[in-house]
Amino acid sequence: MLSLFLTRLLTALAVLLVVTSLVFGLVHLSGDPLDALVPPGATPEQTARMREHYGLDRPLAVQYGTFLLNAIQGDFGESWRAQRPAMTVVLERLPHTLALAGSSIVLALLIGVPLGIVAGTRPGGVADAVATGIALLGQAVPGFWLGTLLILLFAVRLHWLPASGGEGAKALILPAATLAAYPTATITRLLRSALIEALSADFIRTARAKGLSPRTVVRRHALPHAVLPLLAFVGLQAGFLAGGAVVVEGVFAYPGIGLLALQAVSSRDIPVIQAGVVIVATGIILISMAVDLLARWLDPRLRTASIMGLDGGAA
Amino acid sequence: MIGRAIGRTANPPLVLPQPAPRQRSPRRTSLRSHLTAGGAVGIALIALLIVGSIAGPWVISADPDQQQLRDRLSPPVFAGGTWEHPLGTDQLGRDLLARIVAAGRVSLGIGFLATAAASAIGVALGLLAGGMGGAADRIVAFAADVQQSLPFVVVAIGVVAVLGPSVTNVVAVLAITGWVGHARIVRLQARALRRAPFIEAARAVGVGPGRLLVRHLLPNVTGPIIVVASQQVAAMILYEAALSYLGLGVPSETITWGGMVAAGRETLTTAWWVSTLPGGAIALTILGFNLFGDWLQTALNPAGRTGRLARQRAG
Amino acid sequence: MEHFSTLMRRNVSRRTALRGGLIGGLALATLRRSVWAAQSDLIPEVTIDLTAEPANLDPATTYDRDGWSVIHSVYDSLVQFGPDGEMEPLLAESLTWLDPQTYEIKLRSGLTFHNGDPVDAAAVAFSVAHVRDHPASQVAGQFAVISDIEEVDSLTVRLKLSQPAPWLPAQMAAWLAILPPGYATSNEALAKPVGTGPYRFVEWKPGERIVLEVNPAPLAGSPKGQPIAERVIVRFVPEGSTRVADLLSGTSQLIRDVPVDQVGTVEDAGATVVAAPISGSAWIRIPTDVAPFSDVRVRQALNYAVDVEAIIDALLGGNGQRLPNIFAPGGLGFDPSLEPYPYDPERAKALLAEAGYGDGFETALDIAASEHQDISEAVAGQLGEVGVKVTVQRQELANFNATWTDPESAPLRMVTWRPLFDPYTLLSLIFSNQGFLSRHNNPNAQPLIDAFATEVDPSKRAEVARQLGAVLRDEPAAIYLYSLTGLYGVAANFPAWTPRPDEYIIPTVRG
Repeated sequence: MLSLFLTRLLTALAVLLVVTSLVFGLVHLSGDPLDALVPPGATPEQTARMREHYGLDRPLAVQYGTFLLNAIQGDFGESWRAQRPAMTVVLERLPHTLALAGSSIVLALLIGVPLGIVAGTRPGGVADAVATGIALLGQAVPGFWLGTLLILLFAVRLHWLPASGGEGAKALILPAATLAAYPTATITRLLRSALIEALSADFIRTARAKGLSPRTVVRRHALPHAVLPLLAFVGLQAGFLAGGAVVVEGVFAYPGIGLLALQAVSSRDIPVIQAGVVIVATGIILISMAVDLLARWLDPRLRTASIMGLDGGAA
Repeated sequence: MIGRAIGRTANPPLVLPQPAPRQRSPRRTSLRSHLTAGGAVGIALIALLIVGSIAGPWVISADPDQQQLRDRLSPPVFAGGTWEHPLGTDQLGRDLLARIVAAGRVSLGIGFLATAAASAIGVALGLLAGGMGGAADRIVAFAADVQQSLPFVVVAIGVVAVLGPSVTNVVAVLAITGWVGHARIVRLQARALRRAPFIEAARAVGVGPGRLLVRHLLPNVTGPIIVVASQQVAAMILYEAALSYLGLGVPSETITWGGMVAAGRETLTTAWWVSTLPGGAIALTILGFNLFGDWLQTALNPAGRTGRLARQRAG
Repeated sequence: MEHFSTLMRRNVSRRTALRGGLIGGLALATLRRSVWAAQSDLIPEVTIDLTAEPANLDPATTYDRDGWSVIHSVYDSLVQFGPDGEMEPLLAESLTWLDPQTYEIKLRSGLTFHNGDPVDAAAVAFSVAHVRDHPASQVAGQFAVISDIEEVDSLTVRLKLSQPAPWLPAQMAAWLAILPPGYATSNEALAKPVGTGPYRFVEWKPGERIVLEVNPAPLAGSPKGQPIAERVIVRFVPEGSTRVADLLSGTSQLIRDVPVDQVGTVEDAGATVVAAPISGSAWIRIPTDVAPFSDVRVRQALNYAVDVEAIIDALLGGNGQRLPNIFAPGGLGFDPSLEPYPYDPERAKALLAEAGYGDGFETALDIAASEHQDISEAVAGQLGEVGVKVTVQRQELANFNATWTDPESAPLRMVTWRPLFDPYTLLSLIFSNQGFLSRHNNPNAQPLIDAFATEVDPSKRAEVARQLGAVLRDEPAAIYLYSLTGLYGVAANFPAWTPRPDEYIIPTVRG
């Protein structure tokens, strides 16, 4: 267990190293970062001065090496645009991102799990058709379109909820609902097929033959079978949401990391990009570790290294 | 890692059949005999969309690029419009029907191409990892971890900024994000086969295991890969919509459904059809592929039908 | 005022008389003059939706209209441009050219910053040096001509210039805010701006809001006008539909950039859309350094081929006027007697044939991803009608700005430029043959561009600009489109407020 933990930790550090260097390379490949920083039509002297100010006059390897050395000591430098510590700029968005990602996952589970159980225990019936239909609808429309529609209905028409912003729980509802639509659908369908498969397995037949009620059969025997793939999906989804939901954050003017990342990338604010990437990747790695611990606790026989990664117990 | 549409994973963990040793029974017959209503609707929808996109431009005489500013935002015929523009016109007075049909080619094309590319990368890497094991396996697993920790918006902006906005580059961005699911399936199967006695035997008599692996592997992974791919085509079309929303999609002269939904969203209150109708085309596509995928998944899973899974696992 | 009235008449004729009365907000301000006269009439709170959150509030490093909306609410400049394009003293009492290379600024006496510090020559000297010397300054180029800053007495500063720069006051109006000395030398000062403006900075919750409160002792008779609210909350909402939803659901009382197609929605819901002219113009740059555009007949043909009036009517809701060149109404160089190109596709085809392009040609048009693509697509469609096939390409903003002179990039590019009170920056960057962004070289225009940069006599300079405008009209450097208009959504019970031609939103009203 300890050695496994150490291996995971080393892998995580390696992932961080590779991800930051990939991003660093990509940002520099996409043209001189200075193009986004100098005003259009700056004089050559002005450009040179700014290049020196941001340290862009040094060789790429030196720039990345400096970044690494400082990052190891927890110093991600000053945001080139905000002129404040880059990590602060990212971290002050983190609570919003966690709130949004968390509530949309919870919402998706709250709706998706019952729908999936209803659909999976009575496949082919009317309830199945309705549940599957809801799931398919949620999956079938672009997020910005759904978000705009929700705003028109709940903010403009009904005046129930604010259309934008990040203050208070009320402002969280519409973006969380928009974000939840897709995972809700996936959870429903995942659970449905897992249940159908489990309920037709021999051990379930045995349980039924022993006279256990259908309810108990589903709860005790069929559902546990579906939990691991569900867990893997939720982990992946949470990881992706932790990276921010740029489109939804844009539509609802929600102050999450996604929108910040978009702004940072368009203005080539490299310190903020790197700090954001480190936070997001760390979040995904932590989630993946937590999911694996949970999976191992649920099923001690599990031998795979990571159910979210390539080993994917889910697939 | 953008948005609701992009904030989700392109590698949905699916409950897939555990790949069984190749069965000699003719699969084709068994598929046809288990065609459900949902499956039939799915196949019909996909066929309709493909045929419509290919044949449409010959049937519809209107030029999708012909502007008529005076006729802008005229409603569809069922909402008080005329037959001149059966589905109405957009903000530049262009015929919506002609545009939706023209966009279908591009959107479906991007969906198929991106999925095919993701699948090709995934199959190759999965084969490498599962077939060779050892260091190759660890490297591919690491690559999967990196891919899942990399903020997608950075990749998207990077690629678009480096290579410029084009259909090829959008496909490239999408393909990079979707290979892990495919690799997972192929790797698992390849690993099982590598230890199979007949492969060992072949190796013993000096036959390269590579060809055997491919010959025995592909028939077993084709089904699950198609299931993953069918869901991915739909996801890719939504991804493209999100990229268009962020201004990182295909060039504006290339019409896509996602681009149309994004461009028309500001007229949702005054001319709902401009973004809702192409949105409907996306919804139908996703519905079609999801129904198809769901059906295929059940049909390909012998356990789901006959309850043989438990026996196979025990054996 | 003359030029704006043309535009306002246009608008009035397009809307009901009632709505027309609100256009520009200026008429409205005059009508309700008595309402805002006393401080006690301040409304308790106003929430404003802007579009993009500024990265910081340092006047040296912020370059966008939303950042400057907040900066101009908290800080003041020495001078500003009024609604009619006239220079108005603000913190300065007088500004005088002692000679073509010496500019003397005399401050009003008795002014203080929000923290009580005096506004003196030291503050002006510090502020000028700050924007000129800050390594990350976005406007260093505009102030680089200042070679020496001399504090003559506590209220007088003399700027020595390395060359005559009659355009400097315009740069000071746009990009120079007066800061207390020592500002921006510490992170604390950056995080809590202290100025002299109508509002005081309270807090900034990144990603969410900036909160301001009224300056209890606002500058009497400030040309900026007087504050309208005790407390101002500024939010940043990128999506147009969402801003409209904020307005209609009561979250915000004033929003920027109402999407043209939602003007009706806003007005049906009882709110008002104020259409106010902006000192700026929209055009599509045509290079002169590459065939077929080096032939003046081709450049003229492109201008004849575009039905700008139809575009204004259909895509801008009738807001804006067709322009004969790059200059904007209210700004230097604008000549109301100069006729814009009429829409004449036959003439365009004839000119193309004359130039040897009877079968048309193919080319490309770049737009920044942040711009609306409707206009460019409409122009491309109309050019297609005369045989010029145009591919519209969206470019990420950084890419767009990096490729102005790149021979590989699209020859045509869509530009909206503001402010244009004094078009010096635009001319020197994009249309002078020496310009850093220029692919324009016209021997008939170049002497006038040079003279405009150095002529110190104001009336002569205006005449040079007028002549240049005529040359640029007849030998086009762009496809000239329209003057810019701001569309603001205003809640029904909102007090009188004055929109500004520089597009900055400051919650004040002018007397």
